[in-house]
Amino acid sequence: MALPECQAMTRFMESADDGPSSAQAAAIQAHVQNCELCQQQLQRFQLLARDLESTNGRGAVGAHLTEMDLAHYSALGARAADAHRIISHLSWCSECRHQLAQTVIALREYEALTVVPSQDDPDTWGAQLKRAFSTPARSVMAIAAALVFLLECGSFALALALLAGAAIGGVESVRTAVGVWPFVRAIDPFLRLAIAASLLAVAGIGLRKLAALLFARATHDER
Amino acid sequence: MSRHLPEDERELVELAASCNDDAFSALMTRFQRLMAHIISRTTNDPEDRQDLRSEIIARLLTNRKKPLRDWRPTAPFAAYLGAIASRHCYSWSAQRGLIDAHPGRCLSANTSTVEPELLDHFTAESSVDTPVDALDRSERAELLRTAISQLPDDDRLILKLSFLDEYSGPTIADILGISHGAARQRIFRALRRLERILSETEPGYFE
Repeated sequence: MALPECQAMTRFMESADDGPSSAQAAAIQAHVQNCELCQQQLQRFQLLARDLESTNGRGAVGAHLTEMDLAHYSALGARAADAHRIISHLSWCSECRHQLAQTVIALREYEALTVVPSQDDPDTWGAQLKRAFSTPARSVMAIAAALVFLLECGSFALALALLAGAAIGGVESVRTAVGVWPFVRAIDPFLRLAIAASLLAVAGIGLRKLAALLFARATHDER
Repeated sequence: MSRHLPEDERELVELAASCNDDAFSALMTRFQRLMAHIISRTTNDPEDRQDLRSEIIARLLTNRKKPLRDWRPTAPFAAYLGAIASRHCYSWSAQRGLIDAHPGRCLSANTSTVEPELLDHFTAESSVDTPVDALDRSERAELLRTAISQLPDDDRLILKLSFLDEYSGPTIADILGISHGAARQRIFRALRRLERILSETEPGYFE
């Protein structure tokens, strides 16, 4: 006769999707020690496990899976087309099961070996600058700052105000630039020169980003 | 003069499957590290590795590159090539009698991050004497085979991966493309179903 289900154990087993924590494992052990039902279940599972290890049930294996079947299943799992047939075959055929397992393990190991660190490392200042100019509004303001600086031959205050607007981005850019304008005018000319020169480099990134955005849009339209 | 070859995997494979030797070479160059990795899991001998590599490439070229023509872009070419290479390495090992009856057992030795399995609590060798000798071994095996055949395919597959092939939980999760927790739950449920089938069809199994 089948044993009734222990609700507490079922809840344990269905919780914690990433495996039990050490505290949960200890709680499960403690539960099993005190639960007669779970002890009987445990004894049956141990018996089944022992028998299963020495039993290779044979069924209608049929033709082995093709390499394309193995590739599909290793890449897509149960979402693979014809997954039912593949799983059915695998459940009987130790040869294909072994080959699938080796393929999956080799691919995972290979992926782990060939992981290249992302160039957009979030901790680098370059990556942060790139993100800062990720919107067209910011790029436009940064370019405007550069143009003012170059064409007005030293209107540092205006350039700085525009760059402040660029840093804010969006519809607030212009309002920020206007708000900052009186303050930057009061800054010492030499300090303004130093700040403006360094921020011009930032504006260069904005220009590049905007060019990339325009180029991407143009190529998208062509398609 | 070298022609410009496509970066796109599909175009490159199609070109390689036709009579373009440059494309075939480029394809092999692109995936040579993957092939080398799979081969290195089979043998440590440099000569054997070289032989295996040549044999796998020869296999891709057989029947006017039919294996390449059989590839469909519904799966990555790396997975397809991985399956071809793994199958060839399996045959190579089988011919030399090197196949492990429990492939997961030898792999777990290489896997540094095998988590302690909850299921070990259920399946570890027990010192508890169970009344298993009421039925003789061959009779028990036959009963178990019959019960296993009545299980859904999913359950049968996960039980075999776990107990017959002896893969670790995380490896089973990788093979089936599910989370570790889901694999653990499925093993638990499959054992429960198997236990119920045996209890109903052969009450003496657990007594």
